[in-house]
Amino acid sequence: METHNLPVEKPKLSPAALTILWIAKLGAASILGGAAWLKLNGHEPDIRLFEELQWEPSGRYLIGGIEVVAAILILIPQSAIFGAFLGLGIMMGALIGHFSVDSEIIGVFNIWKPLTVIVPCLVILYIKRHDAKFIQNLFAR
Amino acid sequence: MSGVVDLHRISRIANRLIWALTIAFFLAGWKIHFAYHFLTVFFLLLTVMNFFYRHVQTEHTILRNFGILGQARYILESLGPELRQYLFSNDTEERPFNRIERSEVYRKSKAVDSAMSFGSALNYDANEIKIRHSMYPTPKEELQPFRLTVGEERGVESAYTLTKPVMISAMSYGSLGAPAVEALGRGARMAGIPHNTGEGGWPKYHLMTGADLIFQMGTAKFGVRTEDGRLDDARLAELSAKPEVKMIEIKLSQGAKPGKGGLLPKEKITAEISELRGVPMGKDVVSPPYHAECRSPAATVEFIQRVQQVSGLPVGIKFCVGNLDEVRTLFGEMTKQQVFPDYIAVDGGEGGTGAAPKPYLDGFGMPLLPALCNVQKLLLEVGIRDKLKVFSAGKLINAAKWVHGLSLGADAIYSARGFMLAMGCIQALMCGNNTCPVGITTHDKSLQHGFDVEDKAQRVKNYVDGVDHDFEELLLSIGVKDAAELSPSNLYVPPASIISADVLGKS
Repeated sequence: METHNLPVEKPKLSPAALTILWIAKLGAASILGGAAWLKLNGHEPDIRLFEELQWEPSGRYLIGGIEVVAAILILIPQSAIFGAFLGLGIMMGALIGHFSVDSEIIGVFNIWKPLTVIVPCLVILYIKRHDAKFIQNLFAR
Repeated sequence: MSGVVDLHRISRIANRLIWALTIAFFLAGWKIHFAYHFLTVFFLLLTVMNFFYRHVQTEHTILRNFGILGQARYILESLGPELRQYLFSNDTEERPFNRIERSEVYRKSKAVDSAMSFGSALNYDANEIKIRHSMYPTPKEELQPFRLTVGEERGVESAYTLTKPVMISAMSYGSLGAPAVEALGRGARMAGIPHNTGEGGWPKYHLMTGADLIFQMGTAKFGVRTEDGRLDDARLAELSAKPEVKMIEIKLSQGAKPGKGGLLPKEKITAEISELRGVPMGKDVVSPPYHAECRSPAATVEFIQRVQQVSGLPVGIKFCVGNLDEVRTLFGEMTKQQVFPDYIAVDGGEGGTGAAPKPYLDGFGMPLLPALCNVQKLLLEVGIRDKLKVFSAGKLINAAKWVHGLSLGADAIYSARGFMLAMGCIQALMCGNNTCPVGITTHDKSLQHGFDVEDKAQRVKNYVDGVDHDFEELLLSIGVKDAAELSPSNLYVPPASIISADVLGKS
């Protein structure tokens, strides 16, 4: 009956990969957290943005809430990969949203901000790809 | 073609629809309401994925031709086993155990009545072996309790007596997770049967349960090996001195992969595994297909004697029957040296829980019943049947199957998968993947979470008690007073049966 089906240990990350992972996690979480803080506390430019989007205040609270969830999930090791997916999605929405918003408003919502979250989220997804079978299986079955 | 769904056309439409919807939702998000961008993001991700499938990856033709819709094939294919098991397969179709067989074990383990009405659900005209009942059944009070003393032929001081005809067959810590080992051990102790450790090394988790143990020594001799993979006498003596260890089993081969060794990759050798198995960390460990000490019949018999002397316990050998001439030669060598194992465990080629290459699972090893008939015949032919006991293993999970095994020459029954079913195995066929959904063959804590050791230990006991009760009833109906009286004449073997040539003359 021997199967050698022993306790499986996930591949250990090198110190360099671990450092990059944590920089990416802290970076993404802090930017998401900061953005959420401003939205949920009624930061004036955010209110103007969502008024422009005709989604004030419910949209502001919804997006701010999702950003908080994403930031928390990213910081918890077991759920970092889901947080990164959520962060990636919400910031892709933000990026796309730039094309929908008056250029004067975009000034406060500059295009680089979403990218500062999208890039670390992609880094997290790549480094933690072994944690989620659905990512491993996405391209190979 | 009329009347046939053109999947290629549907996929072409779908592939265009995905990016068209992306644009549509983007426009909706721009012109109608920003909230539509949630859908823009979703369809954008689908578009990226679809592009990757169709134009970047080259491994899967279906995905290249059909894009994301092609994934439906893989998703449905992966759901196939579940769909077949729950919806489409009938009660007698599944393998290795069909639903009727599994349900009986489940009922026994839950101490629920397994009587059924309106006749057998099996095809009664099939070439199946049936048990012959007597017109004069044995009165219950005349039935002798089961007793089988292993090692008595050799006069071993610590001979071991079985009081029930079944034992838990070899399943190591490794192939099973720690909670399953614990439940089996505790159940075995409550039921009063021995528990085989499997070849997983020093049986730390098995020893914790307090059950009587049969220590199995595989070809790599995990737990009792020297660094070069040979037997470490001192280590074996130390283990044999433990009061829980009642017998030693030398595994020459097994039904799941007869003639095949294995490889323990260094990545799987944790500090605990290194300690339990006695192997170094950071190095792949090869389980050879043979014992280094057993390269000829003479050397094999000498090795058996050495293990007997070092351990001071009853010592058996386990093998799956392949070449009968080799088995005959081995028995002849035993006679020549006047050294006999205390038991022989005949493992059917039906395979067990062990992960094995498909050609080995499907194509190697004699099935149990003919193997048992042949071993019995050879033992009688060589004249050594009275020198040892015979155990049989291979899908003997209910009382009728026990009768088959015991009638064809076995003295006791080994079962592994019967006990796995008793612990709630749903035959998900994932034993080697560490993803067992009921927490038995996995080390994943989240999957072990639902496995309640106390409840499962009780089920193991219930299963033994229930099947043993049925077995005693069958003995009475057959008209014998003792399991030792069973013989091939108690079986009706149809002419087309695989064992008819071996048994028919006697039935």
